Amino acid sequence: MKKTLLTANLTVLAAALMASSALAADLRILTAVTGGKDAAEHEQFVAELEEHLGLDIEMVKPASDYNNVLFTSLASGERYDLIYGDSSMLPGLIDQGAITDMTDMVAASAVLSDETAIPAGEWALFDIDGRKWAVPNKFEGGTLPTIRQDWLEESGMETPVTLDDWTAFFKWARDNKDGAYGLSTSKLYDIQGFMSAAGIKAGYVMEDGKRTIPYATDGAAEVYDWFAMLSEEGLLDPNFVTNGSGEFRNLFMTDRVAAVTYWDAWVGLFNNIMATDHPDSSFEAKGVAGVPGPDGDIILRRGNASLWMMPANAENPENAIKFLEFWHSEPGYVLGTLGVEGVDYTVAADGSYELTEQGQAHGMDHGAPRVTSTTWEHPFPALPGVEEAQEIIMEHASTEYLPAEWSEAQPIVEKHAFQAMLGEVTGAEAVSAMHAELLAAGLIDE
Amino acid sequence: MLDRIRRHWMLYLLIAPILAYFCAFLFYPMAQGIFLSTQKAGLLGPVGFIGWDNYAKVFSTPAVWQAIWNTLIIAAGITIVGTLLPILPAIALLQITPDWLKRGFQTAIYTPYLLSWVIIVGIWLNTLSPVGLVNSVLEGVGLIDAPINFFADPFWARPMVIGLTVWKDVGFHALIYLAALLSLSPDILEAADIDGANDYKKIRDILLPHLMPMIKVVFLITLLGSLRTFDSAFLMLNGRTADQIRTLAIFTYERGILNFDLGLASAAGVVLLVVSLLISGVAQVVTRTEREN
Repeated sequence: MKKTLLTANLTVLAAALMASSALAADLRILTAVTGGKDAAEHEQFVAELEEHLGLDIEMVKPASDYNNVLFTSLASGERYDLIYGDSSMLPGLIDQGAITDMTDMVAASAVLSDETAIPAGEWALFDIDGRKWAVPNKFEGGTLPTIRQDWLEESGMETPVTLDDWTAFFKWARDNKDGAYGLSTSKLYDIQGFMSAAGIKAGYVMEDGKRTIPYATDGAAEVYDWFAMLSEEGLLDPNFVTNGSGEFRNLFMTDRVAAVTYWDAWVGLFNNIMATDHPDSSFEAKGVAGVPGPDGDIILRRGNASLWMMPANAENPENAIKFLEFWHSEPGYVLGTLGVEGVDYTVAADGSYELTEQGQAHGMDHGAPRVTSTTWEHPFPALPGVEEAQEIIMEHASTEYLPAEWSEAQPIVEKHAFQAMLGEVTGAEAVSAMHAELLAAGLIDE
Repeated sequence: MLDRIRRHWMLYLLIAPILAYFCAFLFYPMAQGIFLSTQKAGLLGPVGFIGWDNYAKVFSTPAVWQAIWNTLIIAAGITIVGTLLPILPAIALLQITPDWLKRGFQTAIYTPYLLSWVIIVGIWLNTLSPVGLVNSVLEGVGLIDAPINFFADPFWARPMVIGLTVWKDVGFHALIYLAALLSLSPDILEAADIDGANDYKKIRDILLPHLMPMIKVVFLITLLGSLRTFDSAFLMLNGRTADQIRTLAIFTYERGILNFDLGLASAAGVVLLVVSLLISGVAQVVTRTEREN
């Protein structure tokens, strides 16, 4: 009897195992931002994807620590057809042979090779030796100084252009707004709008085949000294070294700082949040171009491109391409922005869209708030101030070159830059020490 | 051996799940780590045997020596202060009356132990910020002219990690000491009173000797834990303090997870394991020798 029961149990177990392998998904995706905003909506998001693609899809969206999950999943042999990441990960993943060169797949796809769907400029953001190692997830903006436009108008000043203009505006804010700081940021993220005054660019720059870090050159010294002056005058938030972005966002929306440096999309979000939560407030945020350099050019930074990459051990590359083609077509744009039909939005008989309460709370962002397409028209107007900020980014911003060794160089740059910005050493001393340490560590060539 | 197993098979059976657990979740991963440290590691699996190359790379990286030094300094600070300081609240708890006050004090000092590091660092970031409570008070009473940026000053970086770790654990360790003190017969303290011993003498000659075995246990637990310092230092790490508080555990994480260099990270992990084993071995030998003497 016992033997019979044991045999029956083993048979059921084997059948269950066989069934589960037979039912393996047609497409497995590991995602960070794309998908539902919570577990319940994520299920609905995946269900809608399955309906559109006619595939059985497993889309894993970890609640936190995405990089840890990505790394441990791949290292433990889990097989995904697509993984989400950003362009800073590419050099390391390519070096490890972990992802597939997608150049030929993109060329063979009418959708992905269509320049109105994904313009050449978007591919250029993460081009490595002319090869395409990933496909963009969304339009990636950039960072720029964002000011309290209502305060600027109250002060009667013009939009700041030079470092002196900025200092004057910051002083006005300190003296007229209960000691508000002039500027708040998080670490060196992002002082590029002001470093632009010296005509230098963040990250690495290759000069005659040699690796240089402009923030560690003599040109940067004067801007570090300017920051030191801000610190001394109480115009720079003293917590900038330990701030996360949440801290300076809160300062900005509670009248305690005149300017922050952040994503162009946040100009609209700041205005939208304040208009929704504090309709009586005069708050108005506005993106401002950085300070022109000696040659008159402004240098801002575009963000790391957010990407879909195909692991080298992907089992269903053709289904992965099918998903990417959907993602870069109209129903994909609607899903990535508005969300799930009937959950985040409804469509009226005349074809117009209406956001549900949940859809409004989700801010029209389900992984791709702005798409790469140049022809698709978003059903809703852009949030106030975003388009102007985006224009500034498109005109002045470029991506930084961040090779794998940047992760070692960055702490060295930060260490000396912070000392100078806090006024503990001069800018010249900081760049001299920074340059020497980077050179000694073999992280720059000259 | 077989005879013994046959005789005590039930006991062996009961201990088997525990052994299986340690094999699966401790010894096997540890062995894998050692294996990986000798491989050129690809993200999708080892690419090939490269002998000691990862170790050579680890020891030729200046940041590793700094990380080892940071680990030792921080571990020494946490172990010494974290072992000795809780003796004070433990003795205080023994003396405090009435009971409600004792329980209140006990809860107050134990609470930080229940908090996660994210909460603890968040609380102290606000309290010790240049515009926070502590700086405002220090400036208000004229002790400092300019605010101290506790979390962004290299001078304060290690004391902050050590101080906050001790603050978090002091209640737990005090309770361990208190449990030991409660096992002391009140007759001994009464006899000391009759003999005219004052409080200082009672502490020095009765309480501390009675606590000594437990102090050694707490010393070893704290030492082993502090050599793996990660969460606290990681949350307090920034460009200004990295050189002071990047521990070997953080270095391993940065190389392994952030740089996808699993081979190097595994080698650094093995170095951390060896350093920990050596130090704890020496500590055990020293405490055992003292006991035998």
